[in-house]
Amino acid sequence: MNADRAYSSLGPCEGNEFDLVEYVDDACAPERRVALASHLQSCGRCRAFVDGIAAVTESLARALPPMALSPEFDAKLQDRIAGLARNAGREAARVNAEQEYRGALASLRRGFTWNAALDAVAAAAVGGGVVSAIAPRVLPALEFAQVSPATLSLGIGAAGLLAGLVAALALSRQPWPSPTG
Amino acid sequence: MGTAIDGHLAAGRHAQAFDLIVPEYRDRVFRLACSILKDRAAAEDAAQETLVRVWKALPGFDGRAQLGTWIYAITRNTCLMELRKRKPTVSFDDPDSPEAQAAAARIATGPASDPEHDNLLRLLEALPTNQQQAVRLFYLEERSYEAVAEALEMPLGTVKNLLFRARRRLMELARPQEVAAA
Repeated sequence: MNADRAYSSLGPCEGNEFDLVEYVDDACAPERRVALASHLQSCGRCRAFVDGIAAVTESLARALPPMALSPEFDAKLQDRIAGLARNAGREAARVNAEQEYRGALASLRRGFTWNAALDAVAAAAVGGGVVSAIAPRVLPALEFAQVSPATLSLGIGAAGLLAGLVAALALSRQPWPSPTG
Repeated sequence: MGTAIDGHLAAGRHAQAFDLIVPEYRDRVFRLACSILKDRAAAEDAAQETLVRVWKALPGFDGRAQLGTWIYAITRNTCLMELRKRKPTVSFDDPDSPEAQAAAARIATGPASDPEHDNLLRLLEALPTNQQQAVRLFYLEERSYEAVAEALEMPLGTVKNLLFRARRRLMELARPQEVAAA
């Protein structure tokens, strides 16, 4: 950094500072560059400023050398991504399994509901048959009620069917445990 | 390259997009991290972390921002988190403050194994953070104003102004040492 000491007391011409830094960086417009080059030939203050900025710029370039990634950067990144992808795969599989489990439970619950209803209907039919078979024997005892065997068996069957449907409905509303607790 | 990445992203092929993003952006991410963290090893770790975050977040990238802008934002956030983990350090955002002047004086008289480089880097440390970052990135990006502006998400004029003020200040700070050495 051997810039002209004149800069410290006078500095460049007013309004030129910013453009002169761009001049050093070779970043100003071509016409402006030509104009500045012409001006620098006759202006010691601006020339001193340019020399000073150029010296700082080059010193920084030496003090801040280019940096590059290490050769193992890509391999390390691939390992990390592969590990994350495996974990992501496991997580996706867990989510799928949970969804399947929930689906199976829902299906089972629907099946159970209908099975319970059918069971109740079957029980009611069997109960009605039994009552029909034994009704003539017990009818004398129920004579005072004036209930025919057919009506009695129909009533028992309907009561069984109703009980079965109520039980099925109650079971279908029971909460089911989650696989994760 | 950008078109191919955009095509994969639009089609939901995130893995293929990421395969193209890594070679396209890894060095730029690393250089930006270097300019913020000022440490090669830490910058490399931050670049790894940034790209892992990009991989994780890529399915959620909606294309409202430019891909590069989005990746640079993730890089800056990753680096800021790294800086927060470190011990607090004194920052001189106002180089004309008494603290900064005192630090510059200590720097100028302190021991240095390579007087020119070490002193220049110490003087650089006394500049405001945004000027330091712009200067470091300017050299890492082969003196491209545009690359610095893109990475720092700043207007081109702001970057030029930061670089101008930083070097003018460094020239002023370095001059007394030259006089003393003469």
